[in-house]
Amino acid sequence: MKGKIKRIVASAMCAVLVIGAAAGCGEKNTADDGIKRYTVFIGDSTKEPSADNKILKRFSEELGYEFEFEYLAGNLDEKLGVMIAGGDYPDLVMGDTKLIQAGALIPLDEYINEEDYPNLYRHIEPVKKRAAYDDGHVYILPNYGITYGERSTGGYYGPAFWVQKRVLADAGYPEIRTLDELFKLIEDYVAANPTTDGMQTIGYEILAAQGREYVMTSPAAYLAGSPNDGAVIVDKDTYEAKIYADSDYMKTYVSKVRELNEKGLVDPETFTQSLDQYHAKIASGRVVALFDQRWNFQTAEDTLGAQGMYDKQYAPVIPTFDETMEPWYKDKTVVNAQNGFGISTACEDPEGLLKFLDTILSEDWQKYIQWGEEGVDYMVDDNGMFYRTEDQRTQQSDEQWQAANKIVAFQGLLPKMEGEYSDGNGTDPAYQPDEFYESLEDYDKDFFEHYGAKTWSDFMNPIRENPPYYPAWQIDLEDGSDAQFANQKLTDLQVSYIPKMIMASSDADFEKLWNQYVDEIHNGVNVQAYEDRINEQIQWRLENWD
Amino acid sequence: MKKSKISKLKHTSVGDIIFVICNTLFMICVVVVTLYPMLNTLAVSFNDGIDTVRGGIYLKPRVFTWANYQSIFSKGNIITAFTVSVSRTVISALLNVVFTSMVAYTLTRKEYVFRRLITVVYVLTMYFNAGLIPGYMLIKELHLLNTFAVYILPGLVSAFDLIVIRTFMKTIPESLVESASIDGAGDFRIFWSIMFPLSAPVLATIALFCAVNAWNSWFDTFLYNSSSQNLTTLQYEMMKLLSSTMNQSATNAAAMAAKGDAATGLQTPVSTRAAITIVASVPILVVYPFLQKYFVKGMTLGGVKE
Amino acid sequence: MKTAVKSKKHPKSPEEIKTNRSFVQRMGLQWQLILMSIPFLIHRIIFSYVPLKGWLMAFQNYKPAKGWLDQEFVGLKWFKQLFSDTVFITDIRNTFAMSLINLSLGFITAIALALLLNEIKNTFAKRFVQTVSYMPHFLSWVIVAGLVQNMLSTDSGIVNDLIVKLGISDTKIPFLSEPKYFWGIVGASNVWKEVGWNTIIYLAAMSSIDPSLYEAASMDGAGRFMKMFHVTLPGIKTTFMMLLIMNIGHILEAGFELQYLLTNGLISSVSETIDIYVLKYGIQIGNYSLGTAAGIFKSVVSITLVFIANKLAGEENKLI
Repeated sequence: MKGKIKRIVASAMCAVLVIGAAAGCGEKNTADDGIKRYTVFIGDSTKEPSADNKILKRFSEELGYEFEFEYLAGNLDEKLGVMIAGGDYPDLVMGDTKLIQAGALIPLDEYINEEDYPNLYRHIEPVKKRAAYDDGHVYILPNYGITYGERSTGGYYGPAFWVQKRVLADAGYPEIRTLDELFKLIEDYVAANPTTDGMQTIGYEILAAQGREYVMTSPAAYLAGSPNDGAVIVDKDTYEAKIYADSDYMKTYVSKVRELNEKGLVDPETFTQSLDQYHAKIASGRVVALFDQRWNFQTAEDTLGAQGMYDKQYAPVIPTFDETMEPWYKDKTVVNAQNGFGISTACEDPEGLLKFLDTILSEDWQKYIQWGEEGVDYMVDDNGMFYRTEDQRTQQSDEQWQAANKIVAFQGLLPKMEGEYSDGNGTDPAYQPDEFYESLEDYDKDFFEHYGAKTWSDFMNPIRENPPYYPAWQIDLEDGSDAQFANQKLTDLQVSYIPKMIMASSDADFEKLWNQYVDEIHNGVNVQAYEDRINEQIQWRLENWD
Repeated sequence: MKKSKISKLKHTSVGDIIFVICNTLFMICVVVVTLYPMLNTLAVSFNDGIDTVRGGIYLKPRVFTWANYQSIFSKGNIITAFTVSVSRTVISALLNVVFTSMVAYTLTRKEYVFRRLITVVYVLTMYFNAGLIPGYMLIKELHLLNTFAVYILPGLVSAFDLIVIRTFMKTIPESLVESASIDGAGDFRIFWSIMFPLSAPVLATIALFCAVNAWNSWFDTFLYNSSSQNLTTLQYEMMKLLSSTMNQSATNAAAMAAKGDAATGLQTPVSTRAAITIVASVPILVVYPFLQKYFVKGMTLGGVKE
Repeated sequence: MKTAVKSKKHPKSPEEIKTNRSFVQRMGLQWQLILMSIPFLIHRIIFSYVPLKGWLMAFQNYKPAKGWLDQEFVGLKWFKQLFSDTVFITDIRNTFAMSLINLSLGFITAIALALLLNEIKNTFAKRFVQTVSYMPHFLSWVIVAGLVQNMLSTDSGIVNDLIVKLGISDTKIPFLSEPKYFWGIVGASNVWKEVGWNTIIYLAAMSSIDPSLYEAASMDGAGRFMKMFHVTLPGIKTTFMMLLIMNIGHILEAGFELQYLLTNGLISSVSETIDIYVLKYGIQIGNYSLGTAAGIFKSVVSITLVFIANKLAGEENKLI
């Protein structure tokens, strides 16, 4: 017995030594057998490709590029912190302003020229200023928001108030212009239909879970006719930014929701539920209306769809406080600045990497990456338009199929064409109007007809030119700065006060809480530091952009 | 042992019977309450992902499927991850038990000159933490980044284990050590042939603690070895599946959803999460029943002692 | 210095009389003991003490891109910021309270369960209950928190259903939106998840109790409970004291995930802990200095408490 233990221990010790010695460091080689190899850091772990992935194989065989991916689980901020402290950067990294501030990324604008990288140049040049960091250099190639043509996607996944289609159908497909109309609609519907499939109908749902605070804090700005500017509303003439957490808009929204709650129309559990519980309630089909960005409750809508409960899925409505205000929920696509890939200073051959990025930005490669292989993943009709058969459409959502045939995580960060190709096809199925309409259920086609719509975008406000500084939410608050601290404090105060105000039992209680809340904002939060940072950046943009 | 059986028979009274019944009922409650979360997770893990969103699954799946497990086991590196996890668990449990008990033994020798110094140095480590970045820099300077050794070395001989073993060893009669000492045995002999085997129950406990700890760790993989595919661990791969889009900014999420490609992948489905939990915890759950025999063995040894 | 104080306190043991030699002489005699422990001491110093130079960060405006000494020194700025923030002070209170609840509930339930398990004579049944009761330890807090939220829901939660059915209350209780319930919920969840796990160490201690003690007690006519109180409990007393002293040092660690997952705006004034504060105002916004300052504060409190507890403990229970 003892001898056995001794032997096990001895061999264990040997194992440690051997493995420790064997695992040396893999040196970076950019060129050896003709194949260029790069390390790629992707800050999350969405859908890793399989080893025999079709697209990666073509990258290797046809272009001579191979990549070693590092997908990350856990807190990205922590990982970036140690990466910067240790100076250990992969070649191609998911960009982050922390990395720029640490001087870890190379200024790409100094490399990209029309001659060597024609596709990249065409892609970046028009938006160069918007993609630039504070110092005027482009460090990160935006992963989204660089569009070709005027086309928009068929789906809409941004912010709106969402109402069940059955409710709108019941009311005769009305156009909802104000918050009062919306709340009246909810009230009437719940009065007429107190239960749904045997469960109590829920009038209005709010989510207050960690990381999704915007569901609770941002509606007031949209209701005031402001586009998505984050925690501030920017004056349309003077371009001066002010927080609205303490504004009359906020007060009006909260007090109206409070009235709704008094009538028993707000889910009593609304502020304590987790994201999963929120999804479960929506998926049960009994939530009449809510405010959110669609991507955040998509999962629940899919579940409703799987049960054939199309009438309990949602349509967007875009009310304002009163009819004089123009709704501005959907904005014109903005360059997703400081998101995407950057090339680190540790990369030995950045030109080679840029050459790769340039090549895959050609229309042929874009079609291959976004649509797939002709005849296999999509078909072409007599007019040269791409479409998918029913089978091709369904296999797209099969995870194993995706791992072998798509590069979801990689593509999520790569620069890409959005809109239409020169032959008139959409850059991907979402941008192909017919393809979108065909993928709809019959219930939806009928519903669309009543509103004269072809896409979900048609339910939204018409697209207007964005303000020249737009969007303020993209303004980066420097790490550890007073502005950032203030921002966090402000969110905390809202998260703790708004639920209390909505649940207040009387007007007087509400007023008291409101005053307390405003008082704490003014005395406990360095709002000035926050607003100064935003305004300073807005001014910078006004001077430097366009 | 033999005697205790007799005495048990002798003392059976009404009170005893009532106690046994109550105790049995209580234990049934404990089992029900603590088994529930595991069974619930198991049921959810076998339920269809889209259906699970509706909630309301308790002890059996509503729409049965293997798909959640399939998606986990289709990950290419799952075998590597499993091998690395098992190796680190076995190696660190064994090395920790041997080394920690060795150090603990020296602390039971009252005449040992460094006894107090060692105790203080170890105990204090339980109450401070240098922080993320300094810890990382140390590992980097020791050239332990992207090595297997980083799973074993930093945690070797921890303060908690040391104190637990020392406390236990103190209960072993000193007369045993003294008589061995008179017979001319050195400290190493005394430790290896007397103290080590006599401490079986506590060593089994510590082995369990170390094994569970090693098995459940993912943070060291995240911090030190995340760029080495062949050093990944099961827990880390499971973490990857769990937190797939935790780091996505809201804009990225919205943009990805708009493209349709990833709309349903933005949150890890509850069912997949449950399957991940089962895969990550079942292998280590079987360790305890295996170690339980040492708890009994300690009892017989204790009886022989004097 | 400390050894002098100590040797005064306890009377000379035979070893000490025997080893009344010079320090170097004693070291020479103890070469085996030294060989068995000093390498590990050095190892521990490297891995735990060398990185402590990072504590300098608490006095700097630390930016990871720069070296240790190129940082801007800001003195006690971060400590001042922490202690002038009323939220941080509240968080200390919350942490302390929840930790105290966890500590006492944890000890009581684990010892009680271990005692009762010890009374099961059927080995298979005993092992079965033990194995099942430690299972929740392996579930992540995310899963456990999800179950807690579902069970306490006013919508279809089993706890509220029972409360109404059994007539304890006419209306459902909004457990997660009233601050007064939160600490209790955290305590109960911790017991649920950890009680089985916590019994392991006591069961190990119980298995090493000399069976002849039980026999002697039986001879004296002691019943089941008498044996529990006079043999089993004293038998695990050293284990208990050791764990108690060690855990007193962890009084500012109340856990983090459960609170983080269960909290919401209505109860954040009682649910937020120091660790959550550090996450929000430190790590998440790249302020490493603030996090380090909070860490130093926790360490100072912990070490002070451990030394006090150690002083108060009886001679045979001393940790250090």
